[in-house]
Amino acid sequence: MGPMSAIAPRTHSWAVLAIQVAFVAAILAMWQFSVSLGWIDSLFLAAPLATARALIPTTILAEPHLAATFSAFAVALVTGVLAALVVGLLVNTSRYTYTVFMPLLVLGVIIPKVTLLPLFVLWFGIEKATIVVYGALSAFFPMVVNVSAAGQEVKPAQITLARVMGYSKIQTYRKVIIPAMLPVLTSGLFYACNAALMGVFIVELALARFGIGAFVRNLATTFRTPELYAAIILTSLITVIINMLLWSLARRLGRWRA
Amino acid sequence: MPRISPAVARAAIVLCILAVWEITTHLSSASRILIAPPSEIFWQVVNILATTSNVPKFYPNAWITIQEFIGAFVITAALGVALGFLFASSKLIGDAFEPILLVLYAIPKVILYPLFVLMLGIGMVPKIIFGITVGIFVVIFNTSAAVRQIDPDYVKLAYSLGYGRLMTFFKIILPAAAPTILAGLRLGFGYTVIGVMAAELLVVTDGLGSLIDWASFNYYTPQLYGLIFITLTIGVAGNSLFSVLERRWVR
Amino acid sequence: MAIIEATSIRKSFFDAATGRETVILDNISISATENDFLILLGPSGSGKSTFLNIIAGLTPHNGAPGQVRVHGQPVLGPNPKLIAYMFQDSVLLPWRTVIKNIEFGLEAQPLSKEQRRKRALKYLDMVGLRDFADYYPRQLSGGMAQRVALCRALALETDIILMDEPFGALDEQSRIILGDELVQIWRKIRRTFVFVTHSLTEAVYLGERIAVFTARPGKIKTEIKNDLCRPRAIGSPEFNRMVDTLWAHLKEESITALNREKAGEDRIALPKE
Repeated sequence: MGPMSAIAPRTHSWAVLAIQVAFVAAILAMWQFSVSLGWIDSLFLAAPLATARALIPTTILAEPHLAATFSAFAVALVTGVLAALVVGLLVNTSRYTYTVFMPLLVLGVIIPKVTLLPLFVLWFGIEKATIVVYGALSAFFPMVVNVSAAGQEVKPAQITLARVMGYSKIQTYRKVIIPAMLPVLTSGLFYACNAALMGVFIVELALARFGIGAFVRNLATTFRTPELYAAIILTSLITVIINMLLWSLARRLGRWRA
Repeated sequence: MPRISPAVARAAIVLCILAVWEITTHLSSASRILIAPPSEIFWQVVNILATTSNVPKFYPNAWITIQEFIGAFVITAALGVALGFLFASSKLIGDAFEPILLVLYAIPKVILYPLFVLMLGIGMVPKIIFGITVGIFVVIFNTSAAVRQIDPDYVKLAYSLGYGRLMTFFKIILPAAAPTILAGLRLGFGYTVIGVMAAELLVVTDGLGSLIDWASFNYYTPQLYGLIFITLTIGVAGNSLFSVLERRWVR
Repeated sequence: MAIIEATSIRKSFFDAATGRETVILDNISISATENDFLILLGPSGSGKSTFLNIIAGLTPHNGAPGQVRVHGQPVLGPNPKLIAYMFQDSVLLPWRTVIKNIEFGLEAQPLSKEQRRKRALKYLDMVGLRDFADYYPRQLSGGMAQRVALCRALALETDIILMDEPFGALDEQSRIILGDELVQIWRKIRRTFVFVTHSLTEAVYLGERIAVFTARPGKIKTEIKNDLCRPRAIGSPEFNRMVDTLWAHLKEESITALNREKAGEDRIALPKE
């Protein structure tokens, strides 16, 4: 809405970059000063340099945990999303099934599932099962609601068009319904991914013995602060990369939209 | 065309599930530690609310958690909407912070929680701050999207009619953006609740989370179900409140 | 030899809630020959689009004694080998480019990839859109999108093309230009066009035969043969005479339809097709 972009687009992108660099620099500076000036005890807040030095050793230590976490995450995500696709398409077959089941599914999104965690522990124990089930459920509910929203993207006229062209039901799904739904589905996948990741982390942080969450918890309870920060940065980096990949996938698939 | 109204169908489904639950619990040999029948849960809830159950200090703890919900949400809402407006009104600042926000959003905030506890100690503060970090992004995104999507023709109309900046804001921008902002607040509330509850369960000190942990640790299963039910109801109630507000505003 | 033959077609909806039967079409009998350009003209709600859908096999009619035959065979469902259909809204698939949209119709036919592409390009040339082959629908104007839709229908190489007010959503200039192109194409490829419209000008400009529908329940009020020689001049005395003739028939039907709408009789619950 500002006049800048209309006048000088090149100046604009330089200014944007400048602000970003300034912001990051300010944060880093505050971080460094808080520790060196002793505002916060270095037991609780590690200096940037100490953290940087701890990055590589921590990464090496974290490897088995990362593997455990991401394998659990992958299983949880795939299970949750596939189940959501099946249930979502079933629920969308008619207006009636939609009106009946949608509020129940939305309820599943609204309730803070983290409150159910003790129940899951009761049923499945503190092992991988709880992690995967909880992660899958965390991904399932937002994704299933998203599948319905994606279903709205299909215009009835397009289905009639497919009929007039002589396509069978399956061909109509393949050529008209799925492509129309794809952009919304991909952004739903984006949210489901984040939800599954958060679910897996929560369970690991709370109770597990292996996995990144457990690793971080151990570092925290033993006050190994630089390693803790390094682990957090490492995990964040990986998550951010996954997110960016999904985000750009979503944008590429949605290019044909207005 | 089926004649049963959807609401009735839904109620029927829920009742069926409860009935199956009740019957299988009584009939099966599954340990009463794992599962409690709905009837028992119902009485537990009544007892808990009447403080006649063995749940220690229910109302003080519940009040702590509710304070955390409200505190976290109020700050999330105020800060989130303000930042959302800021990012939408200046293209420069909006573009600059968009990638920063996306990165911050992508960081799994849960993993930061041990840090929060280390720095801020135990008590309400880390839980509230955590709730804010989880909920604020959705509010910012929705608010800035709402403001950006306003048809510029409306703003032009306002100026041509002689409205000043402040009047345009209150008479045109705010009402037009309100539904999306309210949707963002509703989602933000949900996420804030998740954040606060996660914090309560990760580092158990007080609040409803601590009671749930107490019940889980001692294998007081009916109480566990009961407490969980009460907590979920609070979360859903808050969400419904926002839905109602949203619908009334859209009219 | 009639290529399309409809006899005694009746179409009604029965609303179970009110117990009312709404008759959309009442005893329609009409035929079209090869190389015909048949116009279905009538006020809103006269059922002309429904009738088109019945010919296309998209909607069933009430059954015997009514029947619809194409090339002598009864119509049981959509048949893309015989009938192509154009909507009022172009209904292009937004995720496909122009040329892929045209190939969309051909993918259900037993054609190889190269054959599909060749055909698509041939008809793109015919409508003059070869340069836009790789554009996406959102980059096209309304008129261009309808040209692509026409091209898609032509590419099916069917004997019959049905068109449901295809120019209804366009501005007047586009309508005239596209109308011209449509006539030229029709004369070149010599196929049967059935065209639904409520515009008198369009009817007289385009059609060889014009069937005037009554207001609901739709019957055929009259069939007029349009002998004006082409190219037709809009505004010429002969043209205006024909328009007046049509209006004389159409006027009272339009007024009936309008009054009905005002009285709220038109608000019946029609099931979705």
